[in-house]
Amino acid sequence: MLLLHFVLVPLIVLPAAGLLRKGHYRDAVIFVSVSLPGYGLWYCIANQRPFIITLFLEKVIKMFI
Amino acid sequence: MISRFQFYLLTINFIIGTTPFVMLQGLIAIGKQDAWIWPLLTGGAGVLAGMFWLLLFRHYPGKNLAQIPLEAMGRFPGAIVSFLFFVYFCNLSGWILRNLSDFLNGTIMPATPAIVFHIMFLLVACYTVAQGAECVVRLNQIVTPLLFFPFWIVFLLATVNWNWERFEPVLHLNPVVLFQHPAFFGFPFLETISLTMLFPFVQQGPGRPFLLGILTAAVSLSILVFVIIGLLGADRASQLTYPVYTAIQEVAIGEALVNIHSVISVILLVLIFIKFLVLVYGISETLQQVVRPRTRWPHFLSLMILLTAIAHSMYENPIQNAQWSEEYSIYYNTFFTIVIPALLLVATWIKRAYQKRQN
Repeated sequence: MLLLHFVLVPLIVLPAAGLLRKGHYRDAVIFVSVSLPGYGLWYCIANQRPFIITLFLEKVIKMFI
Repeated sequence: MISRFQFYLLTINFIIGTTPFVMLQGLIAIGKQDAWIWPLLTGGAGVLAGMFWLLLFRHYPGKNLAQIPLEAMGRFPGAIVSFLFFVYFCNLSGWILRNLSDFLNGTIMPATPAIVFHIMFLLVACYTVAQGAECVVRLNQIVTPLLFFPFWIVFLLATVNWNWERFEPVLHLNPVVLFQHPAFFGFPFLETISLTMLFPFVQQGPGRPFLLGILTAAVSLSILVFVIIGLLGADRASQLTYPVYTAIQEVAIGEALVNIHSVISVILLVLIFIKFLVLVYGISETLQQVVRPRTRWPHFLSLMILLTAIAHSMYENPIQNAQWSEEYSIYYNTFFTIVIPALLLVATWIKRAYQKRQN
């Protein structure tokens, strides 16, 4: 779990900070918006309780059929 | 710009991509010795779907799938629809990465962590896509002869194990059975909507090479299934996880050439990579069109974080994936490849009718 944070937090925070420093505020928001779902999924995987996408899609499809 | 021949080759390789890993075993389990007919029928349905997409794209010359919702529906609703395609491409990419790591872990590299395969593929794919669409298509054109000839030569060598009795009884299966398993209509032909992201680059129009590519891929898959049945038999092939790999594994030329299956592994990996390149291009281009970022490489990094996570979270195991594909993939694929384009077409017609009335 700690390894996940050690790897992903710098990979997300440092580029975002670099974009903010250069004045690319929109790009920083886009970058964080795309990275955060990935971080969330990785957090679930590291917790041994992965969010299984096909099971989620199954529930959504069953709501309509 | 891309030539029509280049796009034709890309269409074929995209469709064949992960099909040998995912579809063959299930198809043979249900179709038995007549399973080789089914890719022809599902390919025909794929051509019809392709014609439907071309009907939409005819209203928007020079636009790709991410740009059309913005024009048809306006900025905000169009962005939502484009975002749905972004999610669809991300899911497909995650599926491909996961199929890839499952195959490699199950065959030649059982001890390597899956994340290693994912990151390596993503690094190369992001670099290639950053060079532009022409790079993706030219790479495909260069490697296609290197894939085509070794692939079929290896299968020719495998014909020492051929047995025509494995096809008996011939044409015994009720064709209605195919319609009871609609999953085979969804994968892989409906996924070719991803190739519409490259439509603006094709010289002289993408329609003919696109449809011909779908037809050629359907014939190629049919021949592949035919060969697998002839080599292994329907009963055995339906119980193997990777029948293509097993069929070649049993080939040995004297005592000198005994690892020919490694050739097939490399060929299948390259085919997967080509399909993956198209999808990563689709993801990147959708992001560019919808949110218009000023920089490039940070977003490839964010996509890498997202896609590796999606790959690990896609399904629990290959059996659960196969069950899900059998029951639900047709609904999932139909929503993104038929329902949403139909909505876009209706929105286009309404918009055109309104503009005509105003004029």
